[in-house]
Amino acid sequence: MLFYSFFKTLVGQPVTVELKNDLAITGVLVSVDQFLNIKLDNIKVVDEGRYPHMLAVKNCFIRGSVVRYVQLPAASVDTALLQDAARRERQQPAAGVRK
Amino acid sequence: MPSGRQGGRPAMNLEEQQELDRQVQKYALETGEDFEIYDYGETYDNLADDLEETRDDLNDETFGGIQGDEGTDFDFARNTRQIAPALKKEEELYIKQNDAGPRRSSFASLWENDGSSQQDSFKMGLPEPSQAASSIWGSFGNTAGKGMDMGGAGFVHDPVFGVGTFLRPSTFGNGHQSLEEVEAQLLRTARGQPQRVSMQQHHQGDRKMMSLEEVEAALMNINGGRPIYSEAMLAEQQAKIALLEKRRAAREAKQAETAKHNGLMTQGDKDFINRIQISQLVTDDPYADDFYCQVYTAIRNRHLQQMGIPGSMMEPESNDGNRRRGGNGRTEQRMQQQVQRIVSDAKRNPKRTNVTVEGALGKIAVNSVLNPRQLLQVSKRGTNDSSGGNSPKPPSPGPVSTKSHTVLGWIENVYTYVLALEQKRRQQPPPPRMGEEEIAGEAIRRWNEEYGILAQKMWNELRITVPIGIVHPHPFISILNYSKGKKVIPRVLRHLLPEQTLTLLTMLVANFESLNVCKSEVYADVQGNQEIELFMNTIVPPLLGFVSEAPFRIVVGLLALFIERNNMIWVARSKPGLAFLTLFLSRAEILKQGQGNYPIPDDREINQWNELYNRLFSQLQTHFSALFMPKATMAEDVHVWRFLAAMAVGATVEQQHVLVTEVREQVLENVIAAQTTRMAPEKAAQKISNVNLFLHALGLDASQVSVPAM
Repeated sequence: MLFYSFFKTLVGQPVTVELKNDLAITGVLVSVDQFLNIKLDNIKVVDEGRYPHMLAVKNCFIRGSVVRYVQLPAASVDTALLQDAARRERQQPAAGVRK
Repeated sequence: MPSGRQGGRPAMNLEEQQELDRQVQKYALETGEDFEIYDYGETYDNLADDLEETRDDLNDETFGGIQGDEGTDFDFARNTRQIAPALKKEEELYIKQNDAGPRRSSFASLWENDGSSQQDSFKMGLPEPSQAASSIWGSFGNTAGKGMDMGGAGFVHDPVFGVGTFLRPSTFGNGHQSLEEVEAQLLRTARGQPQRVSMQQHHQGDRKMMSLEEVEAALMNINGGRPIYSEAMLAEQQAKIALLEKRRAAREAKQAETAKHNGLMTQGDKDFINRIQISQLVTDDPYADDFYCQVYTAIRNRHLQQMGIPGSMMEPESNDGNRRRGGNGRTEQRMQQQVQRIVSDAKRNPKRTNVTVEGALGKIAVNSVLNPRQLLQVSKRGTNDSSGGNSPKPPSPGPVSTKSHTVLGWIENVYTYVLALEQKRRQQPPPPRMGEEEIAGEAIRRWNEEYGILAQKMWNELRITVPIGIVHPHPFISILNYSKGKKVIPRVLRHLLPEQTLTLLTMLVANFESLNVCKSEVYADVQGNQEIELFMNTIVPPLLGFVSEAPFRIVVGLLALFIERNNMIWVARSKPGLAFLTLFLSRAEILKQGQGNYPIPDDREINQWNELYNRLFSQLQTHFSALFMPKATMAEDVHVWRFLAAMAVGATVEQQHVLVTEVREQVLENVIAAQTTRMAPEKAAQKISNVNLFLHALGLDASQVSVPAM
């Protein structure tokens, strides 16, 4: 849930999604779900010369499992909060077991 | 004759298909257009090829030749006539789709041509292209104009052949030829007299015996001989239009294709799917499962509000229902309830990762977001060692190890409790309403109790109360030596009682020397400087806030401890040390002058303070100029000036004299540097104001400093 929660805050931000097939797509994040499927709008392929067939594509849906990396805008990531969130995430299952 | 034609058709189709393909390829090469994507070949099902095409003499009886009482139900002809324009458009479109070459927009235009010169053109022998092309069709066209609006294909009643001739439109599909082909054609006509003769013979002699493929062959020959240059421009334009038309048609076709699925799912179905999706995402405890998003949104919204932007960045979708704004609250509430039910349902079910059904060949995985499929198997043995250090146990008074992983474990535990406390703060019960004091009071009491327990645990975990001298460095100082530990302090202080904060400050002051940030920036590497910066930003401000409200007695005590337990020369050369000294000095000065709500300290306290001050001064004497950074580092030195100012305020006349003598060089240096033109104005002003910090404390000003001519 941490990653889903994290990506939710990036909705509306420009991101670059690198896929496992080496395609890298830059676009505005429209939505993300629990599988980290990603919807992008106003997309632009990073290496357009290599993928001319993507020129006409304006938006896309990316299955979460084919994503290799997502490049984020540094300004919209709160790393301290992310650490806290990771701590909470770690506590969560443990707390459930204890109870 | 019919059998001959029918036998010939497939071959003709193949040939004409190849020709068409060739045209398309050529066109594709010319325009760089990819025609593969426009392939709508499948939409034409060739069903018409199997139709019975002869024996149409009973058509009249079948299709309403008798105008009688059969009603208009079967009067397709009239309907057709009504929508004839649309059909015509469609037909044009169809031609454009199937045909890459530039050509006439429809058959109709062909038929509009005057076909009177047909015989002449044939007899002329020389290729006379456009005329010839139209004339060929003209020979059919005398009587059959009405047949052309029947949608994609022409049903031609030909007086010459006497039978209905069904022509696929693609028969026309051999646009203009390439230059080579034209040349070849010209060559052929130039020396190939016999061919033409035989053709003429065909036309003149054996007219009745001519089969369709022969006609088409003739057509292709003659059409092929047509010069293209005159039409090139027009053709290009037409091609462009055709392309646009094609795209539009493709889009419409796609829409029509998907339109048949409209309304396949009812609203109920959609809601059901939605609920499945949402039940995966919504939890009853958003701060547990959606912590980052919740807190991030809260922080961002606060920032936006501070900047004067009222709106919220985004609505956290899994908030408590009662905190929702108005609007369509009803539906949202219902949705919320449904989701709540689903969530609780999911909770009731035991958490299993997979189900094995009797007799089934596989397992059914029931993973969810909260219960994902485990991909990594981490061996338990590896985690045991660290968990031993991690487990929160009260700090033992005995020898405490300060190995890095142990200290990091403490810090993590502090974080754990800080997070728990912050969570508790969010769940703080609301102030009691009228008539509910007892229930609310109970809740508040319980909350206070739990909060107190957590705060106590956190306090224990900080290990501030471990006596000094058992381990070196002190455990609390070890915690502060990690940047993680520094960062947690401001958050810790929020949950501490005032006396706990005082204990913390006392412990910090008493062990100041052993802090890793307690060294001059000159000796610190890049990372060390970052640590110093972090210390100044995280720990100093909240403690400054605390000291600036402390009574005189406490300030005196802290400074006494500070001087007692640390080497002042060393401490004063560090930025944090100097900051603390400045803090104590200025606070004491403020209290001495009777500002604030505190009573003016009595004589005994003043004497105590003066004694302390003299000790500090004598320790630092002859080292004041060494507090400044070496010139080469170009470091900021405003904190040094501030400290000197704080010293100068409380100094006696002799002490002030000593101070001025010691730092005279620095003052002069700054003033000279600011007065030379090589420096940016802002920077010069900064230098002057720094010097003035100190000089104003002495009752002087930088403008009074006379720069000696050197």
